[in-house]
Amino acid sequence: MSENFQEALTLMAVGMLTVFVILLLVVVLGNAIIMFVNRFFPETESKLSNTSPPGQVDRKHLAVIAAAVSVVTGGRGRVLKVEKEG
Amino acid sequence: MHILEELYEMTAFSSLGQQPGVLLMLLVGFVLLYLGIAKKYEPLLLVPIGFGVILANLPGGGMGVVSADLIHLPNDRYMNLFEIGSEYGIMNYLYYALIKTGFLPPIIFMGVGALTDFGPMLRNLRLAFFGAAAQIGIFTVLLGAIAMGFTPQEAGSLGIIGGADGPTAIYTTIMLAPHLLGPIAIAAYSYMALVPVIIPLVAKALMTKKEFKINMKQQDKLYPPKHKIKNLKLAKILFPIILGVVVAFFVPSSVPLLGMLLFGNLIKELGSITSRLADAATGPIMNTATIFLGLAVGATMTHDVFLKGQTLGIIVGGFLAFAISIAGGILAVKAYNLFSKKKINPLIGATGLSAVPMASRVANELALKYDSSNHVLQYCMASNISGVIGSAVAAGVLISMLQ
Repeated sequence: MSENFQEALTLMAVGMLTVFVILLLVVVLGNAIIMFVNRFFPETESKLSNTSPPGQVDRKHLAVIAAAVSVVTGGRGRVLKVEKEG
Repeated sequence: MHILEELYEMTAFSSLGQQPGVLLMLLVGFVLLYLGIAKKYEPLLLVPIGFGVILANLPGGGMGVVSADLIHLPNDRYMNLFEIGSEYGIMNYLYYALIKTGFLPPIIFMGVGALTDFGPMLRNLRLAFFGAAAQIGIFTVLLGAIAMGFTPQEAGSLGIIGGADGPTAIYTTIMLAPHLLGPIAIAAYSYMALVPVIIPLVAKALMTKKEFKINMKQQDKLYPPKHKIKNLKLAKILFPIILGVVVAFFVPSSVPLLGMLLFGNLIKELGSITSRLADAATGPIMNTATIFLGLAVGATMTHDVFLKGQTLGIIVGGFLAFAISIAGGILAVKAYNLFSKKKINPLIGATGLSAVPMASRVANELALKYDSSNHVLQYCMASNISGVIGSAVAAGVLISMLQ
């Protein structure tokens, strides 16, 4: 019994330490990924801003329409042209 | 008269007199069905489990799962699936093919991953630590169970109920103490269904009114986060890939669960290019897996296995594991608040045990009762999701050290 209890105490120490270390890794890796993404692949507002000439569909709306078509067609459909009437 | 006797022998009535425990197990099955159907406690699991219990205990039905000793042949060989199927019936075929091999829990975890959004955790990464603190119930109950006379393997399976994660509890039990699978699965899912009762109970016992009112958004305004994520979509794609690989090196035995969780999450985050896979993982595959898991787990609960003193120990131990895990998370936040200017609502620690997303919803409702503007859901989800990772890692440690 006491041998089992000692094993359980070791398990508790190793288990809790491992869980903390892994979640510390989650935090460190998460922060590293965020820093990497922010530095090399930031998605700035200007990328999606309304820069299209008047009379045409703005790029934000175009992106939404393209995403919707892609979802509905399972990635096989593409939006070739969107025009405003009138 | 002879014909009548033969007819009586052919029916199941003759067996009832010989095995009165069967009636009690049928009652257990009906109670589980009642809880699932009328009370809506985890109906997706309790209905198949309850029906599995009934099927397994119908005398002469041949649907009860038999002990692994019966399929063990001389020279350390086991019966093949065809032999199991023809000798012990379809339920044993399902159990030994899908459960005993540890196949279904990771498959369900893949679906869970495809339903999980790591966004709230990435936005509040430091809250992930409380998912670790809330695993303390697992190891505390492990100690207690060994003191009560359980073997270390049985105690590990009992403790993992405190991880508040059904597939993790089932997977660990299959690996360590498969003979306890039925009662442990029932305890795990029943207490998960009772999260709306257990979290408020523990939180009210350990937290002050002032702590309930800690407003997370106000704290964020007072002490804004250091950096914002400028491309969340890409971060959410990279996260499961990198985390999966790194964790695999540290705790390889957690890979079947964690690896499938992160794979499921990746196919969700990739969006339209893998949306069909994500739909399959969260829909047909997960639903099919849930049906077979529930029925087969229920079928392990035959009267000779379930009606033992150990079952009572599992039910009490499971509750303690849950309550201690919640308390561990709350106390960890309270300790953190002693040293930090930016205060955290201890309810966020309470959700460090998994039970996603119910634990977060319950904590959010509790916080709103004390301050109607205090929406803590997103913050709770951060520790809640890290709790899933934490319990899978704890399971990996238990399996690698006790198997």
